[in-house]
Amino acid sequence: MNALTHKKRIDSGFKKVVFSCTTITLISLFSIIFFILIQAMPLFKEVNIVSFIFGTAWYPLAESPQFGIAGFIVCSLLTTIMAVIIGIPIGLYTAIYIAEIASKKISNFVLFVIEILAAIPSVIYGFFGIKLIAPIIANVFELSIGTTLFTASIILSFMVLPTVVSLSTSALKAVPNSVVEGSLALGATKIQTIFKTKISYAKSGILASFLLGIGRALGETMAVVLVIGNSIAFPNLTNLFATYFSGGRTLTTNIVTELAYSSGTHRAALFATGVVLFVFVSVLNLVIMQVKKKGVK
Amino acid sequence: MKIKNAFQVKNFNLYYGDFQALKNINLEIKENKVTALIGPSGCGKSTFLRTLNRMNDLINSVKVDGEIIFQDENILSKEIDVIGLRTKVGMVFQKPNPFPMSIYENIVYGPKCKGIKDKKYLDELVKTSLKQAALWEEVCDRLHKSALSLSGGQQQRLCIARTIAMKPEVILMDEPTSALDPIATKKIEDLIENLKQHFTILIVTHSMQQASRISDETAFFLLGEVIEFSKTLELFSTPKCKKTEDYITGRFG
Repeated sequence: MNALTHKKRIDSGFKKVVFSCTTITLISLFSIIFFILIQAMPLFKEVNIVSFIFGTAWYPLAESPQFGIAGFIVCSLLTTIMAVIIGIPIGLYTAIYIAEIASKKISNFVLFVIEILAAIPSVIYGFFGIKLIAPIIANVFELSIGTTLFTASIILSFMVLPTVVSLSTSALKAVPNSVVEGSLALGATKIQTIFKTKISYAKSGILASFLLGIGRALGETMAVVLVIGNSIAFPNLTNLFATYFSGGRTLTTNIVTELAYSSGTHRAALFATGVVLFVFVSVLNLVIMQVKKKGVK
Repeated sequence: MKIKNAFQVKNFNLYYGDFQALKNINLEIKENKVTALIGPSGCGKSTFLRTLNRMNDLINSVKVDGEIIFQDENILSKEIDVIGLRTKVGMVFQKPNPFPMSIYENIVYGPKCKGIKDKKYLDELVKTSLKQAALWEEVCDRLHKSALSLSGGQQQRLCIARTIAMKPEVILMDEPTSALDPIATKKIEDLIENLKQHFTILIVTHSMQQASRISDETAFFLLGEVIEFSKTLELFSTPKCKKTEDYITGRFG
């Protein structure tokens, strides 16, 4: 009887421990949201939300300061889109190579390299970008300065590779063998089987890997700030080519560049930039959850 | 009328690494007949079936020797066009394995892989294949719904329709009803009866009742050897071999 109550006590004690840990996790998220919202609030006493989001001028320290982040939103989207255009095909094809074509030895080696790629701190990516990629870009495209949106996109495309490769690889490997055999038995070639059957079977997992990659590119700060040139001019949308080869500033780099010397409304505007970023990433995550749910069905 | 052979198997051996799974198989599989392969688990009957459309190529450790002649060619030869062979020798698997696409797309998958694009031809092909597989009535109003929404028995008939759409000479069936209930099984068995007018059918089955119901000839496999091969009626009524008799009367297996 005594032993039983003792066991019961351990049981309920353990339940309390795991519940507390879960609570801490939840609190950390909600307190972050709460904190940035509170910090951003003072901005909206002076600037309305529409002119903040759609405003094209950012002069926080001028006599009549202007807080428009449309240019940063555009730069965030442009770098993310280009990173995805470059990174996703390479990532998906690497995943196909690992899951379908390479021998076990080689695919294990490539996966190992990918994991190291994922573990490199982002500031190192930025350092690599500014010392190697930027000069190459400057040379190839005959620019005076190699720190451009395109340079940032290339670095970001490297950074989304690990996410895309490892998640797509596991999605492809999870395709049941019976379906693959069904395809081959109908006289399909290996390539047809991969593209028509396996990818269609694994599509929700692959799509989720793309979206997570997009999230990574959108939220990346340290690597981008070193290579993007940090210009606040509103990007020229009529000539995207020229825009990609000039400097810019994203939502994330706006915060990290100015936070240290900001105060008052200026500081609130930086937090509000964070809120916008947070909304973007949250929407992306909601989409990912929907895609995964569909995959389970 | 002389009955031609679909497959002529001569001194065929198959090894998984060092293990010999099939020993000196000699068989003549007749055209437009249903040939059943029976025997206890692990006797090599499925392995033999998978040799006939070279599905064993997917397993690295498999080595083979001997000859299997199909349409005057040795299908074990390295030079053979495996893709072409598989379009002539179709296969239906133990577990229904429709692709995660619409019913229509499942049927046209093989023809499309062959490069056929003519929409009118494909539409007609879907209809005739589903009719031949006795599935048309049940699905004609939802051809563009997911194949995964069908019941297990319907999925298996879809897999048969998908195979028929390739207009093969031979259909290999690897325990096609073992995952199905008795009613769905009955439908597939009736279907096989009809299909043999157009195709040569080889069926691996665990059920001796099934073999005796639907097949014309039966091969009894045991430990990688063909113990007895004869007309189904003879094999089940007057088996020549003691081992066959023991197996079919349920003394082992």
